[in-house]
Amino acid sequence: MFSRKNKWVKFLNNSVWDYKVPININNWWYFGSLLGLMLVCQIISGFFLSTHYVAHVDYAFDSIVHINRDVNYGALIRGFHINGASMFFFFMYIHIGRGIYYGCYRQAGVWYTGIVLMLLLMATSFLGYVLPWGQMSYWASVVITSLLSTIPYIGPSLVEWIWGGYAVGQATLTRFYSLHFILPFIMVIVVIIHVGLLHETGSSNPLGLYDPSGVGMRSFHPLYSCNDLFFCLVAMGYLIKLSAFHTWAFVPCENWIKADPMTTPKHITPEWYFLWVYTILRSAPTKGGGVALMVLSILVLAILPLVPMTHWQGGTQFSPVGKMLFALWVSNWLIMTWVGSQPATWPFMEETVYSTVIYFAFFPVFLLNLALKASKFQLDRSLYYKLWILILYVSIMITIFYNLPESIKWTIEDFLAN
Amino acid sequence: MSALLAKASRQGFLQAKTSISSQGACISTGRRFSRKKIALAVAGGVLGVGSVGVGMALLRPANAQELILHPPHYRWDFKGYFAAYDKASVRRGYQVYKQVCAACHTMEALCYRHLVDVCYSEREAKREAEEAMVWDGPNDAGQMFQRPGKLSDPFPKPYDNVEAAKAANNGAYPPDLGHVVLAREEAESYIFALLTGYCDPPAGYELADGMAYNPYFAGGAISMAQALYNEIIEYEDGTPATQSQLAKDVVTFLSWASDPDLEQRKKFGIKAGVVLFLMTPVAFYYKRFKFHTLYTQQIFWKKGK
Ligand code: HEC
Ligand code: HEM
Repeated sequence: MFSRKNKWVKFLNNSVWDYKVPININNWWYFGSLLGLMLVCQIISGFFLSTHYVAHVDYAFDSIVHINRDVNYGALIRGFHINGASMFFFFMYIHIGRGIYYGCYRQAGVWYTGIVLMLLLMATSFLGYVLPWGQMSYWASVVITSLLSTIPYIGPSLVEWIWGGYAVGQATLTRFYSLHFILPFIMVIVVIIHVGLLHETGSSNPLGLYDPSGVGMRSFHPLYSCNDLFFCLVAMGYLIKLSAFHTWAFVPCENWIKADPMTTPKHITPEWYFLWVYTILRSAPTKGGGVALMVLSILVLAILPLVPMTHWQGGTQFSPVGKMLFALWVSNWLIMTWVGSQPATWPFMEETVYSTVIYFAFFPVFLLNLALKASKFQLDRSLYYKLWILILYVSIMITIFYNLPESIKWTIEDFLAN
Repeated sequence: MSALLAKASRQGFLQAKTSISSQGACISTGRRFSRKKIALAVAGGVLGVGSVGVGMALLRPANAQELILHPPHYRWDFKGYFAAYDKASVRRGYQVYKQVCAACHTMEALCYRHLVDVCYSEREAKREAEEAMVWDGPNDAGQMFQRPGKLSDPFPKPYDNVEAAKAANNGAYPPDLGHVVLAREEAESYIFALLTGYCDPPAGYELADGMAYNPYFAGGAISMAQALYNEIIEYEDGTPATQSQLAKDVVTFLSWASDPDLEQRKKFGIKAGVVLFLMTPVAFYYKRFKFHTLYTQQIFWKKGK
């Protein structure tokens, strides 16, 4: 039954045990397994939390207090779940950065399923954040869901449909709980597709080489399995350190106060992993513009697989200009994360505009640089793809221009007029 | 697999005219820089980062919008990897809570049983509970009745409802103290500073009737009058009950109440840390061991005939 002749054993064997991996992948390639580890961790700790959590507006907060106080190791499990979510995002951002730097986005299917996973993770953690029903939970859910009301025509009714009423309340909490429970399992399915697509073509590597002869490949086991084991231990160690000793580091103090629809907290700030999106949202003077930019900020990642195919399959790693662009973009991202945590005043609100422009401007410049770098153009993507880039970019440019502060707009208009 | 790869590679890089060695030379741009260039780059980087840092430091005072005094950061003895709550202090702090704060504040999530094996023995906690009279019922005759408290009873509430509490306190509701340490930005240090920081308002500051002035409280005017004075209660263990001693003890008690699991978690963390400390180097060695043939091999590509 367990012989390698069995169809399923063979499939498993080929996709895990004997899967061929390039020998020259470096440490940035291990974050994929760590992401899988985090997904499993979240599902396990989430399962234990769900055995004591009560999804009712009157009892949700008290059930969390009960988990903290009276359930054996309850606070520790909460710690795993809360800090695990943060580590999940941390690893995911590194994973995406790796993909951009080394040109891994050329595997379009893998890249697109990755973007779906990122959206699912964002949705899951937002929904989970609402469950403790503290002040920040409640007001975050109010603020984020009402962003949807800016969608033309259907917006207001869409928001009420999501709320299940005329305000965030009991119906909202229970459906958020159901969704929060189910989405990670959908993530598991998408992860399987993500990895399956990857195994169709094989992993990329820092040299950007394709190795059809297989001399530069080794089986996953025992090399990479041992490597992953080591990195998983390190990641678990870090998760345990956070959960055991700095358990509440990521919980804002407002969330230790039961949700009260009558009092708004002094500062509503999202979790650190949403701050960069928050900066983009706040860069626009109108709510609708901010929402449009926010959606585009994630969709824009989808244009990377459209990079011209050349004989050379690498990313920026051999291009000094590309490296500089990438460094600029990452620094900009870090600045966005910091600015997002600051109060909505001068100079931070002015800064958000520059950060947003740099964030979006990066992508075409980056692609152009890679295209120029290639000695031979071979644009083998269809017209359909080019149209998609064009539409995306025109809409970004219009949205940004529409949202620029008046002063900058006038300067540009003056410039164009002369 | 390799057939698939060959198909996917379209151009078949390995057959291309460019040689691998020139690719290798490109890998680190820095390697070909002269010393002077590297020194210049480093100096430029340091200057750049430094000026951003200075800029940020300068921005800070300009951004002080809220007129609020931030508390100093005291060194609490239960902070740190190997530290636990001082149980004698928790016990004294409970006494302060019971005799002073409980006149106005609730601690709804806490029951007498929570004190057992923390700062009281079971017998002591039972006696403590019995001091309170608790409404229970209905009995067989359908009547509500009062009885002495049990271990499973929560701490008594000073007011019947929120409105009564507000009415008695200048319209401000005394918040529940169960999580108050976690629910305030500067946590323990803030509450210590708040309890010991009462003073006269600065000249020209209009204080409404029945309000007190406290520079640590946002806005300065607080509805809670100063609660702690020297010798306001007498400790059963004979510790001199100075104001700062009372404040420190009650804050230790409140910290324990906010996060009673802290010690259990730290114990787990230490145990897991020891296990991981032993396992991780072994895993590291094993991975290096498996990789060593790879790390020491050299691959040459030659142009085909
Ligand atoms: C006379 C009633 C009374 C007593 C006794 C009292 N408090 Fe208060 N407390 C209040 C009221 C009223 C408020 C709300 C103040 C406000 O919002 O202006 C308050 C607020 C607080 C706050 C919250 C401050 C904030 O940042 O919102 C803390 C912490 C606090 N009290 C701790 C204590 C402690 C500890 C004791 C015991 C040493 C104590 N209180 C005794 C009435 C009291
Ligand atoms: C992708 C995986 C997951 C992520 C990123 C995630 C994220 C989160 C976050 C950020 C919170 C709020 C934590 C807090 O402030 O207390 C939360 C709470 C919660 N999650 Fe998850 N979660 C995941 C999977 C799951 C699963 C699979 C379950 C159930 C089987 C689950 C059950 C719960 C419950 C019951 C809570 C409320 C308890 C609490 O807040 O401590 N989660 N989750």
